[in-house]
Amino acid sequence: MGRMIIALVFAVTALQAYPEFQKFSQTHSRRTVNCGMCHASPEGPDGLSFGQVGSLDSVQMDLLKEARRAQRPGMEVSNPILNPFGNKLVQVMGVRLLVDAKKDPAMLHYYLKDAGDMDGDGVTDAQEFLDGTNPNNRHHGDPLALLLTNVQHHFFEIVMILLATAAGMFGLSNLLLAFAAGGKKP
Amino acid sequence: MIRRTLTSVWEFLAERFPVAKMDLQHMVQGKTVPVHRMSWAYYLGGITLFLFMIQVVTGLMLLFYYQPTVNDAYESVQYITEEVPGGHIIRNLHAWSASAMIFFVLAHLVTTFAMKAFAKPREVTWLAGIGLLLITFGFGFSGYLLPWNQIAVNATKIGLQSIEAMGQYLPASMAHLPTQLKEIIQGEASVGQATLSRFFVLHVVVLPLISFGLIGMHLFSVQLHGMSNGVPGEVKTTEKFFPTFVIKDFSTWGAVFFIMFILALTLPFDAFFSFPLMDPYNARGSTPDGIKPEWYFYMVYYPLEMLPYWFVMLAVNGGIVVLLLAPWIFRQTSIKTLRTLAIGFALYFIIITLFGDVIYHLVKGGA
Repeated sequence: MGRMIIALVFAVTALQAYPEFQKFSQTHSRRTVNCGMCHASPEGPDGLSFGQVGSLDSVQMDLLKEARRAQRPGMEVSNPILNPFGNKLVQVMGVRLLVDAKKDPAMLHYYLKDAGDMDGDGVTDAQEFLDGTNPNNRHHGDPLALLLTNVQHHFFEIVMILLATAAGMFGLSNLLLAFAAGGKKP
Repeated sequence: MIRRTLTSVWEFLAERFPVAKMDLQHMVQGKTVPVHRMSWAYYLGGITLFLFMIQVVTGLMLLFYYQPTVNDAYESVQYITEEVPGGHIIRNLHAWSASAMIFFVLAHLVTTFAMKAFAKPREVTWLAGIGLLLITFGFGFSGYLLPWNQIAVNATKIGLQSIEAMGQYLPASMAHLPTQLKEIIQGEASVGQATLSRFFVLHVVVLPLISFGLIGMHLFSVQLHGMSNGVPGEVKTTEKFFPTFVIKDFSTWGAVFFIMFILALTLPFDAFFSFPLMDPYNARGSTPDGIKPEWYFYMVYYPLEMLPYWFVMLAVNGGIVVLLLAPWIFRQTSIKTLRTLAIGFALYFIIITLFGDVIYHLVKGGA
């Protein structure tokens, strides 16, 4: 019952939903984007499911309040309704700037420019926001960017695979030639 | 009457399976392969077979970790991708080679049709090949559901609904059959655990077993009758099947393996989808935008979105019947005409696959 009341209170205020960013990322990238880019739940912060306000216990509620007090950049937060990328946004920008940026969502890219690459897939978080890809998942990103990054990253392995395949085919061909020669009558 | 029919069947089979030719000399040592400008097409079947072998090996590896239950399927796929050493490469290799297999099986179909490779005495080879083509699509459809994410479940629902929709165009006495078929496939009122179990069994047991049988018959028949000439007139140049052609065939396999492995290593297959489609399926949540079948079903999916349902279904089912009866329907047709038909289909397939979305928006926007 308590959780329901909390959920209702947050649902009415709906302060922490930022659909402007989702809309911008979606329009810019032409990819479907949902709340799961920044929130723990793909359905957004309001509700009773995991990662939504209605599901939080008292400890998590304290973390949520603490995160909402992070008005200025640089404060490390662990908001349970946000995923790692969402928390990073709060840390890099602070809640005040984040709210301001709702007027011009492209600014998010500007602020994230030097914030690095959280999932380590080789595509920066700023770029993933523009591309409408998942900055929390190292297996998700713009396909061409991932290809180029991974080719560079795995260059040695690629050369080794090439050599192994070529050596295997060379050996197999000679084996077959030997079988063919062995099958002939002297 | 019965005796005459049995005699005809016996004669048909004796001609397609000549016992006298069933030895190593005829089927391997003495076999030759025609050499001409379409010779590259002889390698497409072998590449498809090799990709099927990759599917079997990587599929077996995935089976060690995959859990076919609605509660664990998604998590087990995530575990394979994130935790199992090399798991993401095996999963990607499975996904990439599945798509490549369908591409090559279609390319093999188009080229063998264009080369009139179905003509007497190769009807059985052709029929086994068409069976394998349909099974390959079955593999694609059943495998799509297994990760149990948003696109998997929602696309399967759409696919099953399109079966049910067929009922309204059938006579009243048969109108219930598509619904029954859908329920048999689905196993319960909606896509759920029973569906996942059925698709899993189909994907890893039933379809592979049928495939092994059909592949055996297909290959045996190919070895028995050799490759068709494929071009009008007589072919003067040939090469030995063993070892010359086999070495070239294996070399193409090596090249395909290299490309597949590099793709699996560097380009996650999931990156082509919007990430909300990769979220775990949530029966209570909203359906994300952009639910579509795999790219190889676009040739049916986009027409279904733009044209009357009955027309598309008639064309699809008619097309399958024409393919099955091709050896008899096109018995007198020249290779030139067959080539034109094959090019027409290939162009349609490429255009609808690459530009289906654009065409759809043009048509719908203009409506």
